[in-house]
Formats: sequence, C-alpha cells, structure tokens
Amino acid sequence: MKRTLSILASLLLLLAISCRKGGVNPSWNADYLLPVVKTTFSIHDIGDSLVETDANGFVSLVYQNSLLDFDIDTLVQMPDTVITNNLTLLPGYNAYPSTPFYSQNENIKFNLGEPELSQIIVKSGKLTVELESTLPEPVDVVINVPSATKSGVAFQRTESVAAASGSTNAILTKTYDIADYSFDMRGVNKNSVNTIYYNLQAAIAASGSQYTIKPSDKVKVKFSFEEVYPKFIKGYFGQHAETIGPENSAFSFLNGIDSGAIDFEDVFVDLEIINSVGIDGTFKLNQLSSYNSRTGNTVALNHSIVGNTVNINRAVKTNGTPPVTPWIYTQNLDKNNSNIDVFVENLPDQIQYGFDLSINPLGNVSNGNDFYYSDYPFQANLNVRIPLSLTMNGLTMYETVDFPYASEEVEKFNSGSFKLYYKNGFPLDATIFMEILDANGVKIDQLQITGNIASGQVDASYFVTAPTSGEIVIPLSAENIANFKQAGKIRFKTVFNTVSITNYVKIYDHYELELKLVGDFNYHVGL
Amino acid sequence: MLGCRFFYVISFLFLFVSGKSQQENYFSLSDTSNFVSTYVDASYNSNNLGNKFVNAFRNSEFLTDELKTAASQKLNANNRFGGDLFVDILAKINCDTLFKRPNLSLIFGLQDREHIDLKFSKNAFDLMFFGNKPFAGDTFDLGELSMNVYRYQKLKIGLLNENKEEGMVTGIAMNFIKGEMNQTIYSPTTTIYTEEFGREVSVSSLSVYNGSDTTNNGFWALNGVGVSFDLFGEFELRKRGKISFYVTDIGFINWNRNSTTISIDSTTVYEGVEIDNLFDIQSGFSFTTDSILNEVGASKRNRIYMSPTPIVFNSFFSDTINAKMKYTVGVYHQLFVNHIPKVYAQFFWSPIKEFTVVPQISYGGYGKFNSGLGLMLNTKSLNLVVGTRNLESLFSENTFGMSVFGGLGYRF
Repeated sequence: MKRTLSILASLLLLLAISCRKGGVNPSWNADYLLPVVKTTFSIHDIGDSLVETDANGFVSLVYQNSLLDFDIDTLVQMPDTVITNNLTLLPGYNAYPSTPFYSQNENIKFNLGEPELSQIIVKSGKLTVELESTLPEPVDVVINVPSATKSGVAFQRTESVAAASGSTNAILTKTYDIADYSFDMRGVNKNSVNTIYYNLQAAIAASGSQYTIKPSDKVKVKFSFEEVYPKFIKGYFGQHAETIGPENSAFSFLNGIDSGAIDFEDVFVDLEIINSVGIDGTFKLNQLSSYNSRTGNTVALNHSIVGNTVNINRAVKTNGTPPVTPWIYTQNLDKNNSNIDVFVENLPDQIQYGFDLSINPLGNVSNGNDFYYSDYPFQANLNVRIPLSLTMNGLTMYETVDFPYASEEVEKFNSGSFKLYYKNGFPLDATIFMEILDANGVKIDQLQITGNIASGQVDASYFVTAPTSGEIVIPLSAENIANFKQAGKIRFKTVFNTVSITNYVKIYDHYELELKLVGDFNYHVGL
Repeated sequence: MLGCRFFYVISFLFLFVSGKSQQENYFSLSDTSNFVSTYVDASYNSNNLGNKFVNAFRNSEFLTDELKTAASQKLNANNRFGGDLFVDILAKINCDTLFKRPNLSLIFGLQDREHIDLKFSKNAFDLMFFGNKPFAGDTFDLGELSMNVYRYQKLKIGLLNENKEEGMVTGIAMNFIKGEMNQTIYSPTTTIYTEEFGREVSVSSLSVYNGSDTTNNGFWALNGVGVSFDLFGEFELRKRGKISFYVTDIGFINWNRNSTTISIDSTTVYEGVEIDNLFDIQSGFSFTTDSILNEVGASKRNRIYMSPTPIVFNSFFSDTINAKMKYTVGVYHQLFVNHIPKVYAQFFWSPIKEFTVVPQISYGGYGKFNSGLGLMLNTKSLNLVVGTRNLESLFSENTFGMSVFGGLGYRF
C-alpha cells in the first residue's frame, strides 16, 4: 500500500512539473506590414560645409583639398641634446653648509647645422637633469637658467643630492616639463646664436657639516633636452631646397562614385599657396594629376602653373592676433585656361602631385629675422567649386553596409517582400540594385528589384515643378532568404541619370527625395 | 460523529497546512495530529480560450493557422485566462505545553508558487497570433489588456489554535517570500492603426509594464523579497454545519533595483527608423528594443517597485448528511489578478471508511462551468488525495481548463 501511494505521489509531481514550459517554446507564423526605415534626402545632407547656394537656391559644391601642410620644423629641428658639466672643485677648500663652494655661468650650444636661431618658444619638451656627487655630505645644487623664461619668470630649481656612501656616489635625477618656456638663444652676452646660458651653484646642505674638499671629489651635472618641439622660432633658418613628391593625396569629394559619366557645365578650382612663415622662397609645381583608382585613369592638369616657378614672399609678423599676415598666392583654374573640368570629371579618388620648394634662396636677407609659428604653417590647397549644372549618364555609386540580421533571425522570415515608397523631387532617376555579399565581400545573391525611382516632373528648362511618387518592390524569395543566412554585407548599387543627358540640369537646394521602406512579410514568431 | 471526525482528519492534511491556496474545499478544518505532507496543484482555465489551443501552446507546438483561427472564433471582447502551480511541503507539530496552551500547534511549510493570468480581447489575440497585416487599413481596438506573472517561493511559520469546546479553529501564519520572477502589464486602452500599405503604424496607448530582472533567472534567482500573512478560521454553527474561511498571501513583494518599468502614454505615429543621412544608412538598420520603444514614445527605467501578492480567498459552508455523506458550498477568489469569484459545490461520499469520492461543480474563476472529481484514500497514518476540477477535459479537447491536484500526508 505504501509503495502504491509513493508511486502515485511521484506521478502527480511529474504531471505538475510537465505543465511547465520546456526548452522549446511555442511558435507560429504571423503576417506583418510595417514601416522599416525612412529618410528624406536633400543636397544639404552631403554636408553644409560642402554646399553653397545662391539667391535662387542654385547649388554649388565646394571642397578644399589640402595638398601640402608643411611644418618648417622639419627643416629646423631641435635635436635631442645631452651636455655634461663636471664642476671644477678646489681641493683643500673648506666648504661650509649653505655657503656655495662652486658658482659658475655656463653656455650650452645646440648643434642645429645651418640655421642660426635667436629664440625658441617650446610647444612641448622635457629637460632632464642628473646630479652626481662623491661628497660624503649632502649637496644643494641651484640650477638657474636666466635665458629660459615662462611668463617672465626665469627657470630656477634647487635640488639636493644625498651624501655619498663610501665608494657609492649619490645620484639624483629630475625631469622638468619645459613647455611654454621661451629660450633666448643668444648666449650670456646676447651676441651668439643657438646658445643658452645658465648658472650653477653648489653648497653643502644646511643639514650637513663643514667638509674639506679632496682632490678625488667631484660633482657632475648632466642636462638632457629631449623631444623639444617649438611653437615659435626666430633667427635665420638657412637655405633649403626640397623636392616633394610625386605623392598622393586622398580626394574624398567624389567618394562612392564607381563608374558612369558626369559632365559639369562649369568647374572652378583655385590653386592656393598660403605662406604664414617668415621666410622667402620659390615654389614650382612639377605635376598635378587626378587619379581614378577604380578605372586606373589619370588626367594630368594642363595649365601654365605646371612647370613654372612661383616666387614666395615672406609673411609679416603682426605682434597681434593672429600673429602673422600670410602671403597668399592664388591661381584660378577653369575650363577656359585649363582642362580642370576633365580633371574633375575623371572622378578622382586621389590627387597626385609633385613640386620643388626652396627656402631662403637669397640667403640671410632678413638679418636673422626669419620666424615660424607652429599653428601657421606653409600650405598648398586645391579649392574646388562646382556649380551643380550637370548631366549624369549611368553614374553609379556603391554603398556597402553590414547585414543587420544574424542567421537565426533570418530563419524566422518565411516569405515576403520589401516595398520602397519614394517621392522624388530631383531631376534625376535612379535604379537600385541590392547585392548580398558574404562576410568576405563575395557576392552570393542579387535581389530582383522591379521598377526604379523616376525623376521629378520638369519644365522645359529641366526645373522640377512637382515630385514624382511611386514604389519599388523588392521580393524576397525562399532562395533569397536562404542566402541571407550566409550574408555578411549588403551592397547597394545605385545608377543615376539626369532627366536629360544632353542638356545641363541644375540642382536647387529645395529639391528633396523622400524614401520609406516597408516590410511585408510572413514571420515565424517564437517565444 | 465518527464520520465527521474522519472528514476533519483528512481535511487538515490537504487544505490548511498547504496554505489553502489551492482551489475549493475538499474538507473542513480540524485535527490535532502531528503530520508532514506534500501537495501539488496545477491548473489553468479560461472562459473562452479552449484547451486544444492552450495545450498546443503549453506543449510548445507549432500553432497552425487552423488552430489559431478556431481559437480566435471562440473569443470575444473580454477573455480571461489564468493558471497556477502550487508545490507545498508542510508540517504541523502539536505542542501541548506551548505557551501553556495545549490547543496550540506550530506550522512550518515551504511553498513554490507559479502564477499567470491574462485579460485580453479578441483583437489582442489576433494581433499577436496573426500579425498586423490582416488589419491594414483599419483601426483596431485592443481593449483592456492585463497580465500578471509571478513565481516565488515562501517559508511559512504559523500558529494554529483549536478550541474544541467552542467548536472553533483559528490560525495565523507568516510567510517569508523569495521573489523569483514577476511581469505585469496593465493597459486600459490601446488602439493601433496600420496604414493600408504599411507606410505608417499609429499606436495610441496607455500602458504600464513592470518586470523583475530578466537577466537573473531560475529557481534560485533572488530578484525580490517580501512577506505575507495567512488567516483562517473555522466555526461550528449552533444548529448544524460549519463556516470556514481562508485568506492567504496578504502581503507584498519588493522587486529589486534591476527591475524595469516601461510606461507608454501617448499617441505615436511610427514611420520606421529615421535615417538622418542617406550616406549613413547603416544606422538605419541598427534596430534595438530600446530604439523601437523610443519610437513609440515609451519611457523605460530601472527601478525598485512593489507588487501585492495575489491574495487567495476561500469561504464555504459545510455540513454532514450522514456518516457517509457530506457537502460543501463556497466561494473562491483571487485578488489583484484577473480572477472573478468562483462559486462551487462539493459532495463527499465514503462507501467505505478508507475511501471517499468527491464530485464537484463550479462556475467562475478564470473559466465558466466546470465539473470535477476527487478521490481520497485514508489509512491510519497515510492519506492520499488525487483529483481534477476539470473532469470534462479528460474526455474532449473542446473544453476549457485543465487541472490536476494531489497530495500525500503522513500522520504520527
């Protein structure tokens, strides 16, 4: 009887527990019709800094591409410098606490090569001082650098070296931040260059005792200037002649465009040289080419500036804010004086350039008054302005994004489609392709998209008078969904054509393209 | 009188000591024996959601369109569903000298309670199981939606006072609660409009969700603590019969700071995740639960909150007809959940002393009309009860509600 009851009780417990959910959850299929994403595109979305509009809202794209941002400190470098000073001590001298037994002015001369500098203001750098003493008494060392000032206060430090113990010398190492210190490089008599002076004093510390210096005693001071970068330099920078390039500079202005033809009615490019440095020089552009790495096509600039030397005048020091008035040279390039339109229509992703740069070709004509502020370098820029009056013919752009769903999420999609609803206010039509790539970027499927985004309605001058609305269907077959499980990325390929490919079409800043993606799918729901 | 005594003995084992949180009354309350017992009661019921669908859901099956459609056709604007699982272990020790009150007894117990209840409309069911596409172009009202899900364990300590001279038994117990899991949703009104082509979905909702920490799961998870009290009494009437009442789980659980509250009180038109820049479409595909909640104007925060424990109330009248027959009529109710009062009647027939058959009928609770049957076996030291309150469910899936209960006690 007891056994029967026990078995019955166990069965009851088992039955109750079985009512609870197990590891597998209930599931079902349901039909969803949901907006997924939406966006409104206007020309300003490419970045307000890249767009200029006139009073009529006509849009020009503007872009500055820096060819060169040349820091003069690559020519006038402060090398790491180590100076060791063994103090000359008088044997037999009775040194008393707090009374200097050594006091001397010293010079440090930096080996800078041809440049002759009279002043440096340090942007960043370190000074390490190592003190070594054989004296059996503690020694105070006063380091005074009157030629180094910060906010009008000279650099001065007092450090104490412990008493030496037997044959073991006492050593003390200290590192100081010398950022923002101004170094007078003219030496103690203000008639030298590349030289700073300092004063060293040594005395038995107040806690020590009177000590008679022996012939074997020594006190050594080692100065190490490390990683010194200037924010201001003055002096004569020497003569230099540099050939720079050929080098490549990324040109991101037309990024994403893969192929097709684009024709701009006008293209304006200014080659601009800005010299904010107090030096004279010459500049000669040897080469300027647009390079399209996708097509391998190179277009060299044809203009009189190529191969001709430009004399560069020095900037003027203002002693105000900003501290310099730069010398600026501008050369305008347009369709009439160059092939700049072809240069840009090559859809470059890189600019190739090469030039010669000469500094102080006439020597020290400033009498040691060359100057350089690190925030005001020598620059060469390409300033591009393209009025958006253009034609596009099969202009193809790519954008690749990570596939947003994991494989187990994809498995929940049974069937369905996406619909892209659009309202296009641009005088362009667009055809979209969606390619499914694996994690390595290899194409594994292409969705069969029906329809395209039709251009807005235009008048005789190709001005959009009304937007065009429509929809594009992106069906998802079982095969597509199966391929999604291996998907790593989605690549959108969009092909643009202007409403006319023979007459220029203008783009205005009020044009907009509204897009809304709606998902219509049967989904496997599981709790 | 001997028959009455017999009923009292087994009633004590399976009702009071198990917290009387189970449903209906099988026995009255009176016995002075020491005992230990275990009791399990698993049940669910609904007024409109049939067993065929619920069983498929409970068994984690794939819910076919045919099954969903059949279930949906039985629903109306006001549907209830609820289920409970109680697992009890209990002991009663008579302490004749305790407080110099020979009628006092100590009660110790452990209980695991799992509870779910829902109040929902047909539209809410259809939205969940068919999706929103069938309703595109229409506004549909989800009506009032309410859900409570609890799981907690409790340690019971109580005192029982049996005054035989007055014919009165009273008691009180205190429960220390370990909260494992809680989720509550209350939405008095929600309407959803799906534009004909799905280009926008408009949601107007007043809803609050509270949920305990979902990252800390399992029987041993401690996501909240609480306390509750049980009260009970049994009073013999002057002429005949007895009135009994049980009120259990009068208390609360305080859920910890990792709990989540989501509130929606807005009308939101959802048109998809907005991509600020067509040149950065990657961001448009980065859906998260939080981003969608943000789109529908929901505020989400982690906070401590307190929930009342679902109180169980049971009161009934019982009387003996003769040595072999007895009956009870009573009312059973659960408070703070979507339960409605359930009235029931039971008939006890003992053809032999060791065996009792208990047919019963009831109306209300989470369901409507149900019939049940209990079987009890009683020996000198062992007691066993098994039964169901949904007898009809054993014969057809086209019924509402299923239940099974049973217990085993040892008296010493």
